Amino acid sequence: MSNRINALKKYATSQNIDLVSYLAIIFLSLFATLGSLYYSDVKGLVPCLLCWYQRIAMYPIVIITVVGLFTQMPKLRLFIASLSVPGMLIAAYHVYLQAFQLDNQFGTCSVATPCQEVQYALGGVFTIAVQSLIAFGLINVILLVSFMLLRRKNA
Amino acid sequence: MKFNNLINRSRKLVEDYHLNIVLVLSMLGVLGSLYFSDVVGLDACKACWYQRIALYPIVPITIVAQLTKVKQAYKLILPLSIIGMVVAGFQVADVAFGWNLLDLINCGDDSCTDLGFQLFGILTIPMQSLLLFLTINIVLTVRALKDYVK
Repeated sequence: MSNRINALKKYATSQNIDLVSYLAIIFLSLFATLGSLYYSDVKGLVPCLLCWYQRIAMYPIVIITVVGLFTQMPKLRLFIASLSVPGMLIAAYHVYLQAFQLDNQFGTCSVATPCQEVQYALGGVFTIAVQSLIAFGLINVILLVSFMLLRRKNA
Repeated sequence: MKFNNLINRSRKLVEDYHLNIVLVLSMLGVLGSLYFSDVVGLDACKACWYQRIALYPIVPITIVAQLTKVKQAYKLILPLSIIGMVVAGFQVADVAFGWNLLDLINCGDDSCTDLGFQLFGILTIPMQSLLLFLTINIVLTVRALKDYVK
């Protein structure tokens, strides 16, 4: 088993780590983007205000990761993180509101679409906010892990 | 000849400070849109939200670009601002030419076309947005041309 792992390690070049991690992020963020559009435009669930802010964080991640990958942008992870970390914080706050059924203390949610309202929940637990938190969380994990792998490689 | 010199100097200024300019412009847009939605109370319609999706991320991206001194960061900003300009342009045309193709839900009381918030008596909010994206794009294009001309 460890022989196989050692043999595989030669594939973990810097370029491959970059490629795999950025492709994974593109796939993830694209899935999240299209998923959110499916909920709002196909199933007809109106996005609340916090949802829109998460969209502001998530949608551009697709664009900058694609452009950054093709232009070999240095420090691309930092650019993605500047969007995905705040996105995750907003998603976490949103999940918190839904879990305890509290109203948004910043007074920003509308009466028509309150933020704590659970309109849809996959399997009764995975509300859309939870799905969003998972998406942002995974992106951040990929960023962190790939960054640490590369750092160890170049150390 | 003096005019030529002036143009070259302005171009160089824009090339060197494009990130600062874009940061100021985009923050103006973010604060301005938040002013309209949270202070004045105009609800953002769908088209507005998509322009926000294009505009708001320009702020953190530009800040990171300035802090990390990445040279080619304008390539990340340009696609976003172009998309923003297209959406804004489509919204302005939709109202101006009467297409009414955009399904502007949450645009309560014609807040997008509300003539009461016209800057200089003529620019509605979608027009302001279009102008903002246009300016950002011009600045970034000047910077981009530096790499692709010569």
